[in-house]
Amino acid sequence: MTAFLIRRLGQALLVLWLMSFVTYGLLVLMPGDPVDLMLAGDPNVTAADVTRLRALHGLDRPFIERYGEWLGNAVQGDFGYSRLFAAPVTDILAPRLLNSLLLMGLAFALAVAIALPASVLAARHPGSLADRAINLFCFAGISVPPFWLALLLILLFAVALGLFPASGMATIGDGGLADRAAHLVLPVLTLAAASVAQYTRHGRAAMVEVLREDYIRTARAKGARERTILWRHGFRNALIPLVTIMALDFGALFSGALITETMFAYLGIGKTIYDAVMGNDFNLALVGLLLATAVTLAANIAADVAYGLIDPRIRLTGRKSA
Amino acid sequence: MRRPTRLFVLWLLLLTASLSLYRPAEAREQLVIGMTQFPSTLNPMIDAMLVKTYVLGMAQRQIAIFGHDWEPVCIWCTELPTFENGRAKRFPVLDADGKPAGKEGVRTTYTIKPGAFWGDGTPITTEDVLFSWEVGRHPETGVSDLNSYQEIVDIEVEDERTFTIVRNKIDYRYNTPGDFNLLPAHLERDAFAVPRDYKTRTLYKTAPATPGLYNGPYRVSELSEGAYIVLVRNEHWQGKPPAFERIVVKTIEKTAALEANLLSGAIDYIAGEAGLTLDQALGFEKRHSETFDFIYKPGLIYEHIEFNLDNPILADVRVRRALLHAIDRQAISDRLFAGNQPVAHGAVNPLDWAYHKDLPTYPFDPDRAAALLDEAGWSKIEDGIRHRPDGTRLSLEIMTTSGNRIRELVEQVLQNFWKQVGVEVTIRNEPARVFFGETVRKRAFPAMAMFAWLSAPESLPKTTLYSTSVPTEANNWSGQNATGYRNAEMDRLIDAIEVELDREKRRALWAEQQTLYATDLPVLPLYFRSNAYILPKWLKGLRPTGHKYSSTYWIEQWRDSSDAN
Repeated sequence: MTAFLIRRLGQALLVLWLMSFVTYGLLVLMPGDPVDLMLAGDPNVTAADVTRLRALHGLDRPFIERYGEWLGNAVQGDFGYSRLFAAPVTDILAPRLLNSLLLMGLAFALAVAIALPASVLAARHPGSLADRAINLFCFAGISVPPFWLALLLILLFAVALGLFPASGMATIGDGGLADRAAHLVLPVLTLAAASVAQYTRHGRAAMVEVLREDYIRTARAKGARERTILWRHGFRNALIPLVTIMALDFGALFSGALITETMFAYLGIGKTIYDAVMGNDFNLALVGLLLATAVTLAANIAADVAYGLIDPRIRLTGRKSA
Repeated sequence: MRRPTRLFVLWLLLLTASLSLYRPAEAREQLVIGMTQFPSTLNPMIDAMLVKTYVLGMAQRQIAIFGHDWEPVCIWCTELPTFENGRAKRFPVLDADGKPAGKEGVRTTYTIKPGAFWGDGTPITTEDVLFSWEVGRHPETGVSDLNSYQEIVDIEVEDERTFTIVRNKIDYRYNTPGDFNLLPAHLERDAFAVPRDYKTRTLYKTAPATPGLYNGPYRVSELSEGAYIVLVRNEHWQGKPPAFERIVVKTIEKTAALEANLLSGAIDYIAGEAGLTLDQALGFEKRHSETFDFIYKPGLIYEHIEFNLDNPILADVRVRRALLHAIDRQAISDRLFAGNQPVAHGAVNPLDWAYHKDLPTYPFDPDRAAALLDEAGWSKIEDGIRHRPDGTRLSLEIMTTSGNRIRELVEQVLQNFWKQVGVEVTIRNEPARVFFGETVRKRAFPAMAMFAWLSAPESLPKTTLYSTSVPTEANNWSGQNATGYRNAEMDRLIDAIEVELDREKRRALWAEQQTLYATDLPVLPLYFRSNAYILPKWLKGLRPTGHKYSSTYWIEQWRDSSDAN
């Protein structure tokens, strides 16, 4: 296990380095001069001002020189300065990453907590009323745009009922645990909705598949209890494909978080990355995108570890056997 | 009920019970303002950003600004210098050898008002003025408009409150300190030890709640980057006390969420300076006019279409005039903006004293447009589109920022108007980063680019209309004359306005300049944008200015109408 983890971490670092180079290159190649963007609309700025600001931000130097300098500083923990926020990148991203991870973690946990029992319930009696109701919910969860759902939740729970706050991370001047939790409810529900539907759909399909296997029939023939058959034999095997979906989805939650964070004025990393890319803020966009990559890689490694925990027959040697 | 289901229901009940403890804060002692942007920094020197100006209007006052009547007014000075009151004096400029250089400079003397204090009780003095000049003129500080600080060749200090600004050039703006921002020397000097690092080391960034950074009726007491800024009363403010104990400025970027927050009571007021777009506000007013008050204030944001004058079709002024005659701008204003965005006949706003009212105008007249196009040789019509006798099709492209719903809608309306007179116009939009950062900068739009300029009252169009301001590869795409307008007479008028100190003579020059602009039509003027202010019925005293100094510069006039005091 240790050797496996060291190897996967090494691979992850290599991927991150390659990603940094490619992303930096892509950001440079993207059209749009950051200084001109900063000054758009101000007719009082002179040509000399533009030249000076370009030099001040190092934009007059070749790409490879700038990247080399960035990488040299990054390995020493200095990820540069954000032009959009006029602050070091780490000061901007670190708290936002934690906020996003909290939001994503809660949404993920909620999705798992709802989807797993729902998928077992649906798979146990395919075609039943419960199965059809769950299917309908899954269809709705996948089809409803997060933007629309967020607005609906705000209008219902914040405007009409006044139960939960419409936006923000905490009430200014409060910030207690209950207050923080209240601010999280609507964003978490919005972000979790699509995941619940997706996990339930895949979980149900996997369970239906597994429940048709010979060993399930054998277990039934041997007189095993239905609960044991469902959870120990069926659910455990159905989890393996589901874990892959969940691992991939955790990375994808970043993009979902963009809309959710924007709608609820939640200070997370999704919106920050978007603004950084659109505002041509190299350092912020680059580090933000690398963080998104790192989270996805970490989720994949966690999934590999989870395989081993779910099914001890899977050895973490890089090759899987089932 | 089976056990897992019971547990799930129990979990839901516990969650609901714990969350019911949440109670939104309610107090009229505070005003919560919603905006769509957050300032990158509160340092008044770095970056020209509207939302920063908005927040600092409450907390950081300048020496002088423009008032509601668009005339300069003293804020921290006792009197604006003029030649008549003796606070402004001309002098002959000497060259390096000490001989007369053949031009005049100007000395303007200001006195800081008594009772001017920073938020920690330190008086505002000439030391702050000198320090601010030192920071402002340093090329590595990151100040966007360095020129206004570098034009000052010296600041002579008379005493702790009186100083004289010396400029080797005299122009009509001689007595307004412009964007000269004050910084507290006693707090900021250490951060400026390494000028290149100043933008990250400034206390406005590292400790923005430091009371001494502010000198307005409020000071910043709490800031959550990207989310909100809390301002509380500045106990050292000597002017009229503001009505609210504290002001909270919350950033909610999505306008739909901003509306929902207003309806839920999470915010009290949506600032016009950076809030809902006009169409959104008009829609909101239809639904909620009984709950809120609405103010629409047209101002200095000038929406226009830049022509690329290198395009042979548009090089012909008859075509440019025909394009303007072909569109009903009043109908656009009336139908899309409920008449709240007045049609522009030039770049100078009618609210500006320099506005010349007898300009050549181009009323909606499709027949006149058709005649002009015929005259320009576009008389052969095939498939409803005009052609030249040699078969050249009258086809143009218009570009703007993609995702800007209003601009995209206006584009479609314009396209339809132009089609009626046989002009084919195709639409190609780009994200703002590409449009402003590449296309407009390098004049890469083939025919027309629609966007807006922001400016101050009586703003000289030197960077946008002067012939040497055309961006080219040779000058590394510097300058903002993206239309490519080169006219010696326009250059002469701009130069003449700049040095004319007599207002009446300058008025005549402005009239000539605007007439030339309207005659030559280097750009197609559309309208002056309006800001929409959505206020609770109880909030009174708010007066938008229409120019770059926001309504918050007069926040001590704002009050709760239900408060007897």
